[in-house]
Amino acid sequence: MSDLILGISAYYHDSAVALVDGDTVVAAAQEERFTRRRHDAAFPAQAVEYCLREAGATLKDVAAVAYYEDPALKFRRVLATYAGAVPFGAASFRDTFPEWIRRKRRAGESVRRELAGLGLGPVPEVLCRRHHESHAASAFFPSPYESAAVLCIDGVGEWATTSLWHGRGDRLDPVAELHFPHSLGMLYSAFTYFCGFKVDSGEYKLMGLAPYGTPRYADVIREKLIDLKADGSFRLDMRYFEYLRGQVMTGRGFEKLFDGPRRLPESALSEREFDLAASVQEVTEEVVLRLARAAQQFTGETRLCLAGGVALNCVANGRTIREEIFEGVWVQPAAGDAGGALGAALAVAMERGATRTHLGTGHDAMSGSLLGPAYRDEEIQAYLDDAGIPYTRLDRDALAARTAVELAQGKVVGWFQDRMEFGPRALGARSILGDPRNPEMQSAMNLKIKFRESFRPFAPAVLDSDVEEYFQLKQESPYMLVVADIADARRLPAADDAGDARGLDRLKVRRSTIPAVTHVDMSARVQTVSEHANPAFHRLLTAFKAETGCPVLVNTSFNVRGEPIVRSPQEAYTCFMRTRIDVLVLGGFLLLKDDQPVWAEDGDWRDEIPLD
Amino acid sequence: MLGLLLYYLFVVPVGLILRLVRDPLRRRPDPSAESYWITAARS
Ligand SMILES: [Fe+2]
Repeated sequence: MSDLILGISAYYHDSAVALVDGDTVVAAAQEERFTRRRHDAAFPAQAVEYCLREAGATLKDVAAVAYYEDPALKFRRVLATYAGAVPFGAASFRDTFPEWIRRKRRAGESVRRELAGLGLGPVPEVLCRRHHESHAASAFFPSPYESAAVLCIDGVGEWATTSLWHGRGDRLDPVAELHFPHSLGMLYSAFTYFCGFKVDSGEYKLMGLAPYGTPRYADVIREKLIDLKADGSFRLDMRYFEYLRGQVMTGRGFEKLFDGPRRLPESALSEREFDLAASVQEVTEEVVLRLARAAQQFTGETRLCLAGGVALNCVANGRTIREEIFEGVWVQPAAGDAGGALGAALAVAMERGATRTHLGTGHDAMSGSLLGPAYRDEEIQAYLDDAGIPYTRLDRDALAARTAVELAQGKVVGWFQDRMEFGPRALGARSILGDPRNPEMQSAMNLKIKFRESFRPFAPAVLDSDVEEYFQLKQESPYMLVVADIADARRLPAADDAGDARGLDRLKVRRSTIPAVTHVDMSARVQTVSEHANPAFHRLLTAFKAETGCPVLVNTSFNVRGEPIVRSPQEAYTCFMRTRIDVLVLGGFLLLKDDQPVWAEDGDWRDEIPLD
Repeated sequence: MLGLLLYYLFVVPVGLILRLVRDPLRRRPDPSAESYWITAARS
């Protein structure tokens, strides 16, 4: 009998599929990359087809399907929420209840039916795991640690919103949890909504705004919104939140506490939003630190594994590491619900006798999170030749050297190599790269390529062996989920007396020798690149260092605002031609913008991409 | 609308009665509690 387990997360946000063989992750991908709809929540049919194709398997070869949460239990929580919110939840009830009756409460059956409809063979049994068990399994089993405390923090699944686990060898045991509606993820989302950003995707923007503000509302949050105990457990005061009634996150309660109505989406940002962002970020970090200490005390472990949407808060992760509560912290790269597909599959696999074969290698089991589709050079060349696209073919070393020269000359490079990333970050397989020493690079990349607000900082990718030369970070951060301060040696003296600049003007101050990746608070969201996890990207960084002396590149995802990261060579080429990317590297091929034929499209493509 | 009818005829009365007994969502903080953790043994 086969050991293949197919994990699926679907129907809420960012549907995804993972295929595991024992504890080995064969393939994992989010549906949005195939359908080109950002955070697509539909049944991930194309991701299923891809994962099976990668393994050369059909559903006949799969021993079981694991769904990432328990729909029946979740339905009971939804019923309790309707009952608890009366008489104010009528509109929410009307809008959401029919969908629960029709489909959502039997999501397992929907999965079975949809799988059967793919015509890929007989559907094996479909098992439903708990939402937080899926997160915890995704955090612990692939981690490089023999044993660890495991902490999952998110919005909500069934009832749990925060959960603590103890991982030992092939076992993962629950320790304690906190329940809905008391949720750190919901608290953060409430402020995301109140500041005029989209819930479930704008949280990043709020975190990016925080360094521009002062946390003058933090005390109000502590006094009115959250009762945080010494052991990290907490409750929210639901009188101030609207999400039990559905529809919106906040209302009059927030308006009274935080000086008036919420900011409307896309309208101008004011001091208040900066300060709100700084305030909720400060409180979030405080809660996460207390939770981490609780995890340490409950388990006695010296390592921590993290997952859940709040584990994407890389500023909080950075603080957790800096406080040295643990000797090592590992964050699941797909920390959000997409990663639940992987966790559910691993939970079933481990229960059926799989062992963690990667332990002892010193590496985690995520393969650098490069778990998606790859395109061979022959496929890329066939596409380029068919489309009449001019290119230069180079061997890997010459390609890295040439790309490094282009980058050093200030060119922006689209970098497309090997297997696509699983999880929200581009890690050097589907990335846009630039020279971080160039002070113009941040605003240039933001406005000319990403077409987005300029306050969001870019992330640096650094050779793992050089990380401490540039950043105050004592462990690896392969998945760009840890924020660390710029090393003293890289700071510029002028930075400290720039105190007069306010708000977004502070962006213009040059603070370090790598200004394009230095945030206004002297921090950076670091990705350490190892030869083991990502040889092609490591080779490029090495070549860039040889060319310039600098082992750091700006690394941002290969897409424009509002669009999923590119998956195929065609999508990469389209993005290259629509933007002011200067050079495109597709596998072993180098394409210069100046050599390309004129790009013509009907209408304005930007109309088709929704604002994020 | 059927949905709204169902809500006011069924969900509202059930919800109100439930809440007389105990708030199913435990919505308010409890300043006297030492911890809010629900440990695995108790859940
Ligand atoms: Fe979650």
